[in-house]
Amino acid sequence: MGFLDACQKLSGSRFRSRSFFGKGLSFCARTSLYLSCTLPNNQKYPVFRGRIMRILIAEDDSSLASFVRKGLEAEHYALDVAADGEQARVMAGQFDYDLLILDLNLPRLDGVSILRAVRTRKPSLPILVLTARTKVEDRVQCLDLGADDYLAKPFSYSELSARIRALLRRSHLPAESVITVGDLKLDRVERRVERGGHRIELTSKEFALLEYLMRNAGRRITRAMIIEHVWNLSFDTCTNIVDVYVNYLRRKIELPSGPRLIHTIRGVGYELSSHGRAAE
Amino acid sequence: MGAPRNDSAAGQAGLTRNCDYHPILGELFHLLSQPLTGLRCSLALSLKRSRARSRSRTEIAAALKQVERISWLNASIHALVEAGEPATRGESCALADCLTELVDELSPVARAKRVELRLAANHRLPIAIGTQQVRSALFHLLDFALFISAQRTKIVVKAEAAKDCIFTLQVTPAARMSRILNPISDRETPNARDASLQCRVRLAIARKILEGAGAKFHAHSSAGRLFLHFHLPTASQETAQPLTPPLRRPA
Repeated sequence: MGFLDACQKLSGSRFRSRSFFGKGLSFCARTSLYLSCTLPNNQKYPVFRGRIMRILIAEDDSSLASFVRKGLEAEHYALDVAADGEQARVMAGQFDYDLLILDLNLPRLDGVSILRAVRTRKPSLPILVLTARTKVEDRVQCLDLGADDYLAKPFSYSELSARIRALLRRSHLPAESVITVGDLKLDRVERRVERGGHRIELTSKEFALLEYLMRNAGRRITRAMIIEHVWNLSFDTCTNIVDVYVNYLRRKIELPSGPRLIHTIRGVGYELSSHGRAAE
Repeated sequence: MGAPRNDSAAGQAGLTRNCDYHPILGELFHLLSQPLTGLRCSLALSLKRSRARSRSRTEIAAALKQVERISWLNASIHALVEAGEPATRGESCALADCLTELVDELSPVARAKRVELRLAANHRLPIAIGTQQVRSALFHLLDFALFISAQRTKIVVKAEAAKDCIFTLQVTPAARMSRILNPISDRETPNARDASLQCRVRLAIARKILEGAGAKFHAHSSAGRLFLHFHLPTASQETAQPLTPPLRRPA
C-alpha cells in the first residue's frame, strides 16, 4: 500500500482498493494520460522552427528561480536553471538557448562577466538582465555590454512574461527597415509612417512609441515597458504620459469609423494588432 | 589562492569601499527585493491556478495586492537612496536645451490636463551637472508639477542667469493638492495618501539629485501658487557636453 501511495503522489493518479471476503483485493486506478499531439493553429505556443523554446535562467535564489521556472513551464517553455555564474557561463556557451535570463548578482562569477563572455560567443542570443539596481547608469552599462532588456527587482511575473515574449519575438524577426501591420507601414530609415497609402505626420516621441508597438505587434506591452523603452526612464510617473501619447497616436493612425489598431489591455497596458479583439 | 591581507593598502581600500553607505544600502535592497520578487511571482501563479470564485482566490488576490504595495514602497525608498548617491564631478550640460526638449515632450500631457506649460529660458550658459542627472531631475519636477496643477492654470518654467543659474518652477496647485507639501493627514483616504506620497517622493528625488550636484533649493507659496527655486552651479562653456539623444535600445 505504501508503494501505491508513493505512485499516487508521484503521478497525480488516484488509486482505490476494495477487499472482498475470501476473494482477495481489487484495485482501481484513475490516472491522466499525457499525449503528444499537434496543437490547433490558433494556440500561441512558444514554438520556433518546430521546437519548443528553451530558456536558461541564471539565478542563485533557488526559490525565486523555482517560481519563475514553474510559471514559464506553465507557458510551455523549456527551462534550465543555473545556480551560479560559472555554471551559467558554461551552460550558455555549450547549449543552444533561445533566451538567457541573467541575474547580475551571482556567486562564483558576476553577471557582468557572464554578459561579456556570452555576448562574445553568441552575439544573437537575447539576454534579459535581472537586477535590484534601477539607476540609468547601470542600465546603460548593461545595454552597452550587450543585454537586450533590463528588469528591476522586485518585478511582477506578468511583466517578466511580457518581456520574454517581446524579446523572443524580436529575436526571430529580421531587422527590417520597414515594419508593416495591416495597412500601417513604418519606415525606420526614412522616418515615415503611412496608412493605406496616406502619409501620417508624427512627432519624434509618437514615432518612437509607434515603432516600439509595431515591433511588438500582437504582444501585450506594459506601461512600464513603454516608459523604459520610449522615454528611457526607470520609474513610474505621477502623470498619465503613456496614455496621453497613445491617445494622440490613436487619433493620428486610426480611422474614426474603422477598427482599432491599438487595443487597451486593462490593468496591463496596450497591444497593437490589426485584428479586432474583445475589450478586456 | 591566499586570503586578502587586511593590513595591506589594497585590503584597506577594499574594506573602506565595502563598508561605504550606498553600496551597503544597495546590497540590502537587493536582498529585500529577492524574497519580494519570489512572493509576487508565487502569488501571481497561485492566483492563475486557483479556481474562479473560490475563497482562496480572493485571499491570494488580497495578499498579492499587499505585496505589490510593499514592492512599490521598496522601490520608492530605493529610488530615494539612489538619488542621494554622490554625483560624478566635472560633468556639465546645456540647461536650456534640456528644458526645451522636456517641455516639448510633456506638452501633450499638459494639453490633456488643460494646463499651459510655459518655458522662459534665457540662461544659455552650461550648468555643472551631468545631462542624465539633469534630465532625470527635471522630468521628476515637471511630472510633479503637472500632477498637482489645477486645470486651466499655467506652469512657468524659468531659467535665469545670475551669479549662478536660477531655475524656477511656478505651479498653481489644485485645491485637493494644496496640502501636498504638508505631512500626511489621517483624514486622507489610503489612495489619496499614496498619490500624495508618490508625488512628494518625485520632488524629493529631484531635489536630492540636484543638491547632490551642488544646487541649493528653496520653496515658498503665495497667492495660491507654489514656487520651487533651484540655484544651479554654472560651468565654464568649454566643458559643456552636447545634449545627447535619449538612449535607444538596439532593434
